[in-house]
Order: sequence, then C-alpha cells, then structure tokens
Amino acid sequence: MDDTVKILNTKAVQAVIDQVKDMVRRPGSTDVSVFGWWGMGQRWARNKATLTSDQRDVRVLIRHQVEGPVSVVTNQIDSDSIAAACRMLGSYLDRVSPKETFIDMMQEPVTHNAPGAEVWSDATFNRQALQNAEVVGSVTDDAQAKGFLASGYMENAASSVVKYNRDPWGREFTTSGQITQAHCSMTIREAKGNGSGWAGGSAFDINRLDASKIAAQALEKCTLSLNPVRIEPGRYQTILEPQASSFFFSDIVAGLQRSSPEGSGGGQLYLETDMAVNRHRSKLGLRIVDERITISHDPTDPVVGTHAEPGFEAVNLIENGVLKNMWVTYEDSLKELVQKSFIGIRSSFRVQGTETKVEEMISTVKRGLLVTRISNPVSVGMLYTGTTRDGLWLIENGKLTKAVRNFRWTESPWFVLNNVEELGQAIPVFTPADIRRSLERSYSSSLTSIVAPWIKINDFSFTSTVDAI
Amino acid sequence: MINLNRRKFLGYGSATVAGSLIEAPGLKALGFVHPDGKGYSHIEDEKVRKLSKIAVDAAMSAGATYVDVRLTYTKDFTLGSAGMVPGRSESIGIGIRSLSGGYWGFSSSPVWNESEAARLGKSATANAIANKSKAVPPIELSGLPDAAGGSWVMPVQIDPFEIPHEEIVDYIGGMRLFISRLEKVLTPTIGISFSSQAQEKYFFSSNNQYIYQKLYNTSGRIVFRVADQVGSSLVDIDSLTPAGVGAELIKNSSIRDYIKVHHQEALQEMQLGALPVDVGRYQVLLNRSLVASLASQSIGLSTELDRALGFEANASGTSFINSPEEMLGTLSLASPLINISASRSDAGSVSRVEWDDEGVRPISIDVIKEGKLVGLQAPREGYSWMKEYHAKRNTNFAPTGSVNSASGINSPLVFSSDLKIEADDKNAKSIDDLRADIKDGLEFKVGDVSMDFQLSTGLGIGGSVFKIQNGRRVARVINAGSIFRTSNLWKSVMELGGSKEVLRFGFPLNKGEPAQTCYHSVYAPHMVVKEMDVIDITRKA
Repeated sequence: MDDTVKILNTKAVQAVIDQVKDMVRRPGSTDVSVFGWWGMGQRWARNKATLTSDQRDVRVLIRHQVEGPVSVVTNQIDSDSIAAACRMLGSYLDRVSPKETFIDMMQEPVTHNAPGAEVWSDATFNRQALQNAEVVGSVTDDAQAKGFLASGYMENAASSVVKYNRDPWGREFTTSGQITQAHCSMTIREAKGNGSGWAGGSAFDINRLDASKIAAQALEKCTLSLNPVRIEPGRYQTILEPQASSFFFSDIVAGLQRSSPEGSGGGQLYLETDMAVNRHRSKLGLRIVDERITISHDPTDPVVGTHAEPGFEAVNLIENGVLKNMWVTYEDSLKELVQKSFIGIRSSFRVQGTETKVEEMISTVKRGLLVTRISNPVSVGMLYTGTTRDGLWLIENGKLTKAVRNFRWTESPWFVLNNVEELGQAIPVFTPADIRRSLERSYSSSLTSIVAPWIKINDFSFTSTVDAI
Repeated sequence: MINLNRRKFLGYGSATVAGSLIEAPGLKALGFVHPDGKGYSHIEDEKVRKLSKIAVDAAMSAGATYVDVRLTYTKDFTLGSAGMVPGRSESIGIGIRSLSGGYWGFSSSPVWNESEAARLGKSATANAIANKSKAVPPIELSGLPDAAGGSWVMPVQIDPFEIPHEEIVDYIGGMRLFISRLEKVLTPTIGISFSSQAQEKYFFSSNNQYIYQKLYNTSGRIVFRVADQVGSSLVDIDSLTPAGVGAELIKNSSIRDYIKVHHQEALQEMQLGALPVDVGRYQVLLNRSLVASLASQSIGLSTELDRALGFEANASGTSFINSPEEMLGTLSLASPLINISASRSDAGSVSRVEWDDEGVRPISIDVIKEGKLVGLQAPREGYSWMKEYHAKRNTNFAPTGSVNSASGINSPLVFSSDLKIEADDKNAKSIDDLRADIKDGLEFKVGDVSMDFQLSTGLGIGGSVFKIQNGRRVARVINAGSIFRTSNLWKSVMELGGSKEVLRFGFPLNKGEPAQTCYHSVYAPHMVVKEMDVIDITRKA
C-alpha cells in the first residue's frame, strides 16, 4: 500500500484481485472484497479537544465455497501477503472445509448498474485537522460561557470497496464504489449534571453539516432541560423528534427481508403458516402501518442515496401504509426462482413527511411528552425497551412547560407506527455508520442515511423513571 | 460435520493447518521472518525497535513533549456454529499518540515501513498542534515507577495457533456427537462456536520504554435444547465467555462433565410447571453469571475515571459517580458485605497484561471496600485530573494500568480492568445452601442486564427464572425482569456464596469515538438480594 494515500487506488486493488483470481483456481465460487477506509476524528470533552486522530486501514477478504464457505482476511496487499493468504485459504479448504448444501442452480446474472447518487465530496476528503479544531474551539467557548460542559465528536471519513465474484460456472462480476461521510454530534451538560442536551447530523458532504447550528441546538436543549421534575410513568401522547422516531422506522425496515415460503416465516410480516402445504405467505400488498406512512429507498436520492451498484433500484417499501416490496438477498432470489434481479438489503431510506412544523404539533397536545433521543434499546420479545436521553419535556395545553426526568420506555415499533396521530417535517438524522466494520456486513447496507419525520404517537408507553440525566 | 475422520487427520502429521505454518501476511515483504521461515519473529527483532524509534523521533522533532507507539500483529481464528465455517484473519497496525501543548494527537495505519513510521509520527504531532490556537494548561502525566519495560507472553496451555486447526474442528465435531447422544437433546438445536485471537503488541515511548507482549483471547459457545412432551429447556454453557487462555477453554478434560451437569439440570427444570410472573418485591437469588454482568456494567464502567469526569458523555454515556473528588472514599453504594477489586494479573483473565497500553504495570486496587467507593480506574493523565484532590489530602496519585486498545489502529483509552467480587468464605455457602435459606422468592439463573447511560438505573431481563418456595425451585416463571437503582440493588445484598463456586466471565466493553471493543473478566459468586422489584418485561405501561 502506498503510504501517502488515504484510501486504496484502483490499480492496487485490481492487482490484488488479479492475483487471487490466478491463485484460487478451484471448483466453486470465489469472492474477493478489497476495502479501504480513512477517518479523521476530532473528539472533545469538558470544553477542550481531547484527541485529534487520523486513522486508515485496509481489509482484503477472500472467500471460497465448494461444500461450505471458508474465508481468510488480511490487511496487507503486497503480493507476498496475498499469496500467503491464498495458500492459507487453500489449506483450510483442503483440511477443514465443512459440508453444506450448495445452491446449484443457474441464474441470470445481474449486470446492469442502477444509477447512484453523488456520494463523494472532495470537501470531506480534503478536510484538515485545523479546520475541525477551529470548530471545536468555537463551540466549546459558547458552552463554557454558560457554565456548561461540552463534549462531542466530529469525523470526516472516506472509504472505497471493490467486490469481485466468480461463480461456479466461471462467470465474473465486479462492483466498486467509494464514498465520503461526515458526522458531527455534541452533548452539552450542566456542570453538576442537572441538565443535558444533544444534537447531531450526518451527510456525505461536510459542507452540508452546520456544526454551529448543531452546537446551538445542543446548548438550547441543555438550557431547557435544567432541573427536570419527576412525573408519573404511564401512557402519554408523545412527540418523537426524527432522531428518536428513526429507531422505530429502522427496525421495521431492517425486518423487511423476504424469506422463502419454505423458511421459518413468522413475525409481523407474515400471515399464519398454511399447514396444509406447510408454506407461509408474506403480507405483501396488505396494510401494515398507518396509511400516512410511505418509506422508500432511492439510490439517486441526493440525501439518502448511495453509489451505483447492480440490483439496487429505487423502490417503495411501504406505500401509504401498504407493504409493497421486501428486501431479497441474492441467495433467496436464487432459491425462489422468481426474480431475475434482486433488491439488495440496504438500511438507507426516506420516510415521507409533511409540511407540519413541530410547533404546530406541540400546539395541539393537551398533555404529553416531547422526546429528543432514545438510548440503549434492547429487545424483549416483540417489544423494545430503552431510555429517553438528553432532553425530555412535558407538554401541557399546547406548550412545553417543564423539563422531565428521563423515563424507561417499553414499546413495539408496530404499535408506534400504527398509532400515529400526526406526521411532521422529515429531516436527515444522525446516522454514524461505522465504515470500519463495513466488511463484516454488506458495504451498501452499512452506509446508512435516513430521512425521518417528527411523529406524534398516541399512548406511548413509559414504564418507569430513571435517575440518569 | 467435518469431512475428515480422526485417523485420517492424525495421518496428516505435520502437514496440517496451523498458525505456525502460515506466513504472516505482509511481514515477509518487510523482512520480519523467523529464521526457520515458518513464522514471524517477534519483538526481539531489532527492526521493530528501529521502526518505533523512527516514529517517536519524528513526532518529537515535530514538537511533541511525549510520544508513545503501539504496533500490533493480530491473528484470529473462528469456527461458526452453522456448519462450523472456518474463518481466519491476520492484520497489523501501527499507531502513534503524541502530546503537545496540552493536546493529544493520534495517527495510525496498516503499513509497517520506515517512511510510514516517520509520516505517522509527524502527523500525530501535527494533529495535536492543530488545536493550539486555544491555549490550555499542559497535560501532566504521572511518573512511571517502573519504566524499564521488557517482554511477557500470556501463559496458555494450548496455543490455538500452534496446533492444527483440524484438531479443533475434529474436537468440536466429537463434542457435537457427544451432546447429540445425551438424553432428550434436540440435535438440530446444537450450536457450537469457537474463536480465538492471539495478539502481539509492541509498545515504545519517548521515555525509552520498550515492551513486547503476546496476549490471547479465546471464547466459545455451546447451546442446545432438551425437550419432551412436557416442556423444553435451553442449555447455554456458561464457562466459555472470553478468557485469557488458549484452546484449553473448550478442549479440556472436564468440559464434558460440565455439560452433563448442565444437561441434568435442564432435564429437571423442564419438568417444572410454568407460571406467569406475579409482579412485586421479592427476595432474589442471582446466579453468578448475572452478578458478573451486573458488576461489569454498573461497577466496572462507572469507576472508569474518564467516564466519571464526562469524557465519554457524547458516546456511551456518563457515570453516577459524577463528582469523583467528593465521592471517592465517602460514597456508600453497596452493602458492607460487598468488596470489589480491580486488577489485570489473574491467570485466565481476558484483560491480563504485564504492562498496560501506557507502559504502566497494572496494580490491584480496591474499588468497593465494605460497600464504600474507594478506588477509580485511571490512566497516567489522571494525575492532572485528580491533582487537587490528592494535593488536599497529601496523597499520591497512581495510574491503575487500565489503559487498553483493540489494536495499533485504535487510540488507547481506559477500559475497566478485571473485577473480583469477594466471596463469603466464612459461611462458604453453595448455591443450594443459598437457595435453601429462601422461603419465598425468585431465582434468576440466566439473563441480561441493560443499564441507562449514566449506569444509575438498570433493567434485568430474566432469561431463565424460577419461583423458590421453602428452599426449592417449584416452578419456572415466564417473562420476569427487574428494574433497579444501582446503589439500591448493591445495598440490598444480604448474602454471597463461597469462593468454591466463583466463576470467571468475560465481557466486551465498547467505548470511544470512533468506537472500539476491548474485554475484561469478572469473577463472581452467587448472590442473594433482599428485595428486588420484579416486573413483567413484556408489559407496557
């Protein structure tokens, strides 16, 4: 690897792929993914920069499947290392390859590239540590002047990936992409811990992130959240900020994966199994959430789009509450023999909002709560439980009246999205996808961007108070 | 199942898949090769020392007042439960941390060569200096009582990278067969996974301290379900959480007996009737795995000094110990029965080291002494943070050796050391003895703990809960959980089990921005809590 570059260049990657193609000549399918990332981070706490970092790394994944998959990963791309990795792969294939059913059916390859969005920003890529440091100096001064403690993290990052596949019939497919990402989030706390405010944002272009605005929002929330009072847990009409509502939308979208009729099925997205034929049927075509909810994925969307990749096309997942499409993996599309192409799993999506402003939404609440953010959600059966964090207010007679101590909530995403009273404006939310771990998942599905609306929910369930502020 | 029988495997002799026969990717090209050509030659190699020194010199020349360098060479081997799919990974990293003008800078990459070492050194210092327009007091680091350095290899019985990996695959295949032959086991539910990491870590600093360590982290999982017409019960072997050991974690003579004990227990449990949870306050027997999880999250994380001071506020959260200067030595947060210490020196502990990632020899400290907060886990920079506290009391600050990093690519942070909850050896009660003392209560055998972002309140999710009457389990309880305040729960502890049944559990710790994961161990006995608020976790408000 050239020690002066931040992410891998095409020539270096091609050399790796060529070498693997040459060395791994066995029956079966071979995958090679070459992934490089760079990130410049600026961390601060207690009104002072605490670490300015520049990190970069590479991952080469070589995977071969005859009777069962075997994989080898290295972060070295010189020819000796790749040769050693290929030999290692060969040894494992010879000695310990597991037996598994291999999908032995032909499928028309997906070769067309769907159009993608502009997801590369030179401004993000060329951002200097000095520029980030200036931002931190400014935002921490504002917090300090009010006697608060500011902490936060700002990152500009870039990554590139090339994926090569040779299927059991010798056909070859290559896809590639590169993307930049910028994130900024801040937590401003009262020095004795009597109040806390948070704000954050993400975009591929750092120029679309307004750190001063994010800081001002966090500062305002901290000020408004001082000295919170305890109120009784229970069911409240609740307004979720987009950052909070995005959790429930994400959970639904992540579950929209279609499994084969012979699969286990079950859950909210499937009808009961037809015992006569032992097959289950999905709820495609049926209404599953409130009829005002439309969730779409469009690779060309300027905010939540991603780079061009075969099989990834614009699609409405839920349209006016009706389940229209489900993600299908390549393997499942092969098993089902129903589609020529497939819809890859992606976590980027846009939920259609309205023109209603949050002030209008608040004005019609008689007694309810406004939630900034939720924390540590864990699943308990078909429900989730977590806590509110960094800003929770009581709404009385159409006005925010006081800051409230945080609650533990226990709720189902399905209940939430079927009990919508009102949808508000949709805005991009903070989605700090960890590009460093992209290799473990699909690169595309790890590049999360979400546009979500404010939502007003009836009877949101707050089960107990928590002491944390 | 494997496609290799034992005889065939043994016939391979030395021509097998093993760590020692594989060239270290990338390193050969750099000339870091063992003289016998079979593996990587470690830290004694002068090339590594030279590389580190180039980085430190470059950083110091650029204006640093202190610099440290970490180089890591990490090998991973995993066997997934689905068809035992093998995965092998190797990576190297170099990271330089530089202090200048009261600010830290850090730069890292996967490239080991002289020009890159120099670039990273300069870059780390430049990153620190980027902040200099805002003048701040200098960061003072505590002194190093023992700055000599040296080398240390974590002792393991079976180095997973020195044995043929077929042997592990074969062994697990045998284990699967053994379990499938146990009474009432549903064969398709058997899941066995194994993973092991060996990491060679090099440290060099501008104090001229040079350290080599080889560390291991091995874990596994064995789960299966027993069932009959009456009911079913899941068996999850609890002794295979991450540990600082080798393949002996799973490949040992006692594991089959241990599985048999769990299996027999499961057969008995599934004969018990099931009851819905009756919400209320109960005396509760917490099994050691839950005690360990509770201690990891509520005591381990909260006593990290940087978290207590708010340095983690924008990431994983803060701590209820939000004023360390006032709370240290005065905060009563547990029953007088509770003594918890933190160290990194116990055999088998997953965070065990001889030096931490700042070159500090870890010390054993009391964190909770007779229920009172008496110690916090601190880095060298803690000297600056706690200067006033120690000046007022005329005491000395000592870093605890709790700094860690996942690899050379990651910057070092405080991660909780291994924790030890002192057992009650005066009464030396077994779990049966503890249960026998309970007239009417619950037993949480397996479950999970979820804390709030300040670690002050939590939710216990009971995976396997039993009703106890007159000292015996009488029914399984469905959907039971518990909400608690951290200090109330620890203060409510009325009895601890004896050390004979203390078990070590390993946990991942996620921290920082960008986030990284390190591990620590917790040694926990069984514990009886006088009163816990038991809830139905599936019930909404």
